[in-house]
Amino acid sequence: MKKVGKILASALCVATLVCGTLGAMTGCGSKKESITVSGSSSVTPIMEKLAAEYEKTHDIRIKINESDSSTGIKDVQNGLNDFGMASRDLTEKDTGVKGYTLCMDGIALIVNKSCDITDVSKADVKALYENGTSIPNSSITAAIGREAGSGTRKAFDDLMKIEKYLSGTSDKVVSEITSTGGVKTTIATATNSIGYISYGSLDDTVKAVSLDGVACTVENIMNNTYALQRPFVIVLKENGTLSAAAQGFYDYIMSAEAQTVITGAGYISVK
Amino acid sequence: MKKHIIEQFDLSGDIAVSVKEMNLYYGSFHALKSIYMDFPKNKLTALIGPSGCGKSTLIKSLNRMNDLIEGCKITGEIKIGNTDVYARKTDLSRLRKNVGMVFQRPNPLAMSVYDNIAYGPRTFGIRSKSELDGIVESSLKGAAMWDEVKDRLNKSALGLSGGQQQRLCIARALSVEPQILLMDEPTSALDPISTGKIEELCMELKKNMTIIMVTHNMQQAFRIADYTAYFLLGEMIEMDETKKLFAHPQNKKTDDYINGRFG
Amino acid sequence: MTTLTKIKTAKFFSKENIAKAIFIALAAFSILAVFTIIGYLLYASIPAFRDIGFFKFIFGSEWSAKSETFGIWRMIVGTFFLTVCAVLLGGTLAVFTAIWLVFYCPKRLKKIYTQIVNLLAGIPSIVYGLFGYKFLMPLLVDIFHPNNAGFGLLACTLILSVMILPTITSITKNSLEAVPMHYYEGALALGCSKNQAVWKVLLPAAKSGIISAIILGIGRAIGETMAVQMIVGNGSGYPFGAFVPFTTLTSNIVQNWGYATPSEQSALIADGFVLLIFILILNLCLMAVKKDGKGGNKFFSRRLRESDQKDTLKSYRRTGSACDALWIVSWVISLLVAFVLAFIVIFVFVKGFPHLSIDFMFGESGNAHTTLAPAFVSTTMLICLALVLALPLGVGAAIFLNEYAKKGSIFVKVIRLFVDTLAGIPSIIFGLFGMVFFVIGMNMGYSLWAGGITLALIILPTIIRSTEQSLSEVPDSMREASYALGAGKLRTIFVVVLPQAITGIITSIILSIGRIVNESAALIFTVGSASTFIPQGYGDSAASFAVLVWKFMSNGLQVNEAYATASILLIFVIILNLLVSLVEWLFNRRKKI
Repeated sequence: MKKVGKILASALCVATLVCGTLGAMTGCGSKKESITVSGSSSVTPIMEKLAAEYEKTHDIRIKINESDSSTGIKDVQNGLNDFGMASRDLTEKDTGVKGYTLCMDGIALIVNKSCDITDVSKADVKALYENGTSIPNSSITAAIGREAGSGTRKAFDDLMKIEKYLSGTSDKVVSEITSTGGVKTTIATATNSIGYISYGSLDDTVKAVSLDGVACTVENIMNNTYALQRPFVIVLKENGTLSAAAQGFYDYIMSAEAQTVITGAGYISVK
Repeated sequence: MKKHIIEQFDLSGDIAVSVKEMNLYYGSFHALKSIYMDFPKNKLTALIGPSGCGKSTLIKSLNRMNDLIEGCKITGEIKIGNTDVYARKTDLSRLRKNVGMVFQRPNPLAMSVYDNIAYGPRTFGIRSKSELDGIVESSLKGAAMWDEVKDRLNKSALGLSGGQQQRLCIARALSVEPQILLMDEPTSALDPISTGKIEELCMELKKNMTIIMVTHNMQQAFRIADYTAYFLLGEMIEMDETKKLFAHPQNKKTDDYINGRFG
Repeated sequence: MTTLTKIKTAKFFSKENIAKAIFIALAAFSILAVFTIIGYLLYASIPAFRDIGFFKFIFGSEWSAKSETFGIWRMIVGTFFLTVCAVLLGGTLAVFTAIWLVFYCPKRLKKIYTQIVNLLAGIPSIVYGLFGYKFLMPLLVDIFHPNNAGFGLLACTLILSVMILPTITSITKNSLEAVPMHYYEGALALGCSKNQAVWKVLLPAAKSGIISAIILGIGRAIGETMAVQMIVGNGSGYPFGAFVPFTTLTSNIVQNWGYATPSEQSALIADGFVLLIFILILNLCLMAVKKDGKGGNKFFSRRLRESDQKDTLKSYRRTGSACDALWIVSWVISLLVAFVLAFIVIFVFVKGFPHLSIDFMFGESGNAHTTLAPAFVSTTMLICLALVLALPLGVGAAIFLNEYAKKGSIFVKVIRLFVDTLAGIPSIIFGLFGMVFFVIGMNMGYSLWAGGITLALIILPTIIRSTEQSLSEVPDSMREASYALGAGKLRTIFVVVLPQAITGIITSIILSIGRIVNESAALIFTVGSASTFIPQGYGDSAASFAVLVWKFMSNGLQVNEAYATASILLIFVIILNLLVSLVEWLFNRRKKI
């Protein structure tokens, strides 16, 4: 009995120790006020930047739960967050919520840096995604898409009028990747594929190509000549009030100060 | 152990254990057939016979260790003093405390020498250190090994030699002050020197304890047993005082076995 | 005096009986768990079967949230092809490896090689995925120039066959070692060379064990999720070419859950349910194969135990037969396996170490800068909760199975069957179950509670089997000694038997920790992936290390951090592996004294 007792006792000690440490850690943390923002994974990167800026000057903890636009809106309806993020305009189906545009985002078509192609036509891209037709006069033979539920994909498919991605048994079947980052890292190594990502997530690991001669730039998105663009929307409860802390953060992200962060990150200010 | 937390059996008569009309089955195998035996008090009774004849089975029935074996069924009557061993309300703890057992192969528990001896008393609720110390010392002395191990009481019992382990097991059995000690071929796994020590020990112990020993070794039975019983194929062929049995066996089968004409 | 004894007696017996009842209940918990998982997943997938129609769901080839048509035929075909390919390749490699390890491995190498295979088993799925995605796929593109980034059957098969190799190797090894030595001697006596004896006599003698090994390998291949999801491409193709992006039953769930509407969610759960049915069928096959139930204890352990096996077989002479060629092949394959392991580990370390810093590991984590501090806390919390729940359950169940149950009774067989079933269920199914049962059904939300409880279910079989194994190794003579002194069953179990089984229990704890650290699929579905802040309590969502690797990978901005986190994971895995060996070594040493 004694030995087992000893073992049990030591196990208990370890458990209390661990729990104690955890308790202490959480104790320190819990003094901070916290707010929760949830929704689109496309909006998440800029929201993280804004939150990081805001946390520098305010003693607050901003939790950003990355999922998708629909979930973000659902969470607002169910009161699970302080406000939601969507990478599309609200529709009539989204009842009980209201949206404010944070900024505009372009959808950039990207290829590997070693590709010599600089411009693609809408028809070619559509043919590649739908039928697997290689883009003429280029090394691009396959397309990379996002998973079915992605907001970026919805916007891309709608704007490009793509009905359905190629299926079947050829190696040109469109690979579907669950995240912006996944698309980017794949393109960064694959010299034969084209993909699409949020303009704000564009960096020098990949190369953006112009669409029908129009480059994906801030100016072209602002003056509406670049076709692939969509709004980032902050979703609030239609007739609810924000907590003081959330209101503070909301005011900040809608302020001119925040807009400089937004444009700095490559998104297009609408103010 | 001065105060007995568990009551001893009343062994006021000359007979310590009596077995009547006992049959034992392992499943459909009839292992013991209609056994009648009386084991005299404070004597050493040896059970001899070829392997598989039911000697071990019989002594395991006396402290109900056979209960652990699946499919084992017993009929008849076994009494210790006046108490029926197989009565419904028998307290197994009390039975086994008073009927100690030493096994064929030494089986010390995987703990220190001290804890091995103290295991039994602790089972019956003795917690006081001084009392336990006393029991450990007297039990080890009783098994004539105190001097050998007194300096290594806290070492693992598994580190002892085979002979020492077996005497430790005897000491462990003694620690709860049994009235009857069952020994199942206690020396079969040991060398002659260890065997000699254990035999001496038995001679000493039987002065105030009933010992029932299974042995394969007829010389051993002859040397130390007061009574000897011969078993064959699940039947008790003959039981008598050792000298008589060996000198003038009544049964032809016994004669054959003792004189090496068996098998 | 008499009355005192009697009172004591009565109480004594009732204590024993209560304990027995508790042990039975703990053992029966596995049955309950399996039924709850099957039942609840079925219940949650009923809407899908009802609305879509069973046949349309199974044989429909379109999965589209837009048009609300959900059919999994494509995924079934994908899973089937991938499994067949991976098991063919991985099974072959594994059987050769096992043969080499048992018969040809030089004695000095044996320990090290055992470690290698165990390490291969310990590498988290997510790290395999990372390796396949960042190293293997580009390599394949360079070699074969397909029309895409290298997604598809070939890459998946290669990775998956390495992942199932340890399972098959360890079970094959066990059954090879169980072949009696006199078979070998008999073969030599008839004039066989060593190679002929090994391939023509010993290998066929271990046939049923090898078949079980393959079946378990199939189960593992079917259930593998995260690594496959990263390299399969998830396109709507059929895997009839080496580079067609296709979808498997598991990757479909991970791919689409995040965005799923209620009707799609139900379809995804139904997808999981179909997967579960496949696994259950495999389990039944396994039962049929090992009809005698011998060696059942060791069967599902992915870990190799260092064998007590005698020296490597002595070789007498060699003939120029095909068996000698096989001998060479087994050498080549086992060296290849060792090389692959070394390569994966070195690849991750080389990519990860430069990005490890004290600040990245322990610095304050925030939106500006995510560190690993929250992962340390949340992983620890998950380990604690899961162990606190699973340990009493598992040890109790093992005590029942080994100490109370009659050997070979139907109840025991049923419990064993269910424990094995539980062990065979892929973690994605546990994740789905945790999601619908704890997160949604019991309203826990994405939380460490939900994750910890789910993990407890996952590690339960390991603890039961490992404890049972070591309980059964305690010699009966010790129990006899205890009973003969008048001790009751409880005292015998807790004072005599359990302390000796402690090595097995500690080993199972370490293995369970390994499993928890490795787990990603189940956690994404139950704990979510909030990685920015240290969790405030068990109600919070959080990300363990493995989930963090996945998150770093998928947001694409932090590939270096993904490597760094993966190298920490690998370090954990290596340490845990060494710990197990240390415990076993200490125990063996103690036994020898």
